[in-house]
Amino acid sequence: MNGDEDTHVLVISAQSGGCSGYLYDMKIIKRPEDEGFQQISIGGINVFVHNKDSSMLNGIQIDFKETLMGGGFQIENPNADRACGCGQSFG
Amino acid sequence: MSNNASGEEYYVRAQSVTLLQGNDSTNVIDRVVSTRIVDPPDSHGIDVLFCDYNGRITDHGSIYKIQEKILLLSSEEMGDKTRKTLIDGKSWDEQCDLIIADEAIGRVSLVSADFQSIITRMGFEGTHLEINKVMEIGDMIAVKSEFPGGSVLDILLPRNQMSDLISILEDAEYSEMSDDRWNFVRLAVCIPSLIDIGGNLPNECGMKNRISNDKGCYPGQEVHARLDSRGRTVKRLCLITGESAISPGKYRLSNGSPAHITSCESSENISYGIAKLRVDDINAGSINLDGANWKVEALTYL
Repeated sequence: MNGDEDTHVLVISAQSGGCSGYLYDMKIIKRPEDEGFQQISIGGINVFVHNKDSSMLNGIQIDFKETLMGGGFQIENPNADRACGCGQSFG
Repeated sequence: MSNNASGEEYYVRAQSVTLLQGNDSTNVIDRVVSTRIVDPPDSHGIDVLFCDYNGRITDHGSIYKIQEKILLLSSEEMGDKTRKTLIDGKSWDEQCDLIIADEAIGRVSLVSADFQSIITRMGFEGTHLEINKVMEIGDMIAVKSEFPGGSVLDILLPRNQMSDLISILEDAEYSEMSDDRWNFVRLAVCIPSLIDIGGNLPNECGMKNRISNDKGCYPGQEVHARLDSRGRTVKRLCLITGESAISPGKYRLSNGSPAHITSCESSENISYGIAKLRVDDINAGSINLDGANWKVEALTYL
């Protein structure tokens, strides 16, 4: 986050779309003023999840993996019944 | 295709009406429908499909962009579920307000051999009707839609103005259709209902044109893409026309093939139905069902 850890946060959210119904979205943004977020600090980085998404994202595990097809975040979601082939979408 | 629905008639349709407003409304809908709706031509309606992750149709509707707002007309049966899909899928930082307008906006569908004279009576003077082009006058909008068996003019208006419109229609000698008559006309014109298309794949319903293969992921996209590149359509929806009545249900044709009649209505010794049949049986042009002969035509929607 390039030294912006105090002013910026990582927001993880879910939105409609993708092959299975929902998509993960991760953004680094200025600390939101909205009070509807739950937060946790991991390794000095503030991670925010909006209350609206908390039931869908409760218990997720985020990993970063390098693969032959390219690297990226891999999210394991215990609430998901299914995921699409590319792993970006869940339902 | 044949059409036995050329009288001047109107029907007040039950419908889910949803209004979406806010800068991200288009994106919120675009992510869940199989049809690309970003950057549509100005004032044009777009027919859309909502599918599940298996690619099967869960709802269908029409979208109209009017003055930065989006009007979504979808099926009455699935209206609340479709709205929930839209609300659940809105990201925390997106601007999109969803307004339920079932009680506020009414829909009247007209069948006629001459729509131009009635729209002139309604005040759309000097306006030329184009397919799917939204015409606005005051609080009222009119859209002409084309189906495999003919055209329908839809008027959307505030419910408190409905009686004024009905007076104009009755002055012009339009008669109101009963539910059964509308079902007959709907089948003659081949207007799909969720009863006919729900649970089917879009290509089985002749609705391949309502899938955008280049828009990226949406629910059901993996299945649709696979069908497009490798699939073979085994069964399709078709219009059946005959002289006897038949109840919706599952049947066996005289050659042993399965037939699923989803809708059927009769009037004056002619019956129209929508059925799901094997493509080989559709290609034969006629079937024998329950001892009666029926003409068969595959349905294809634009």
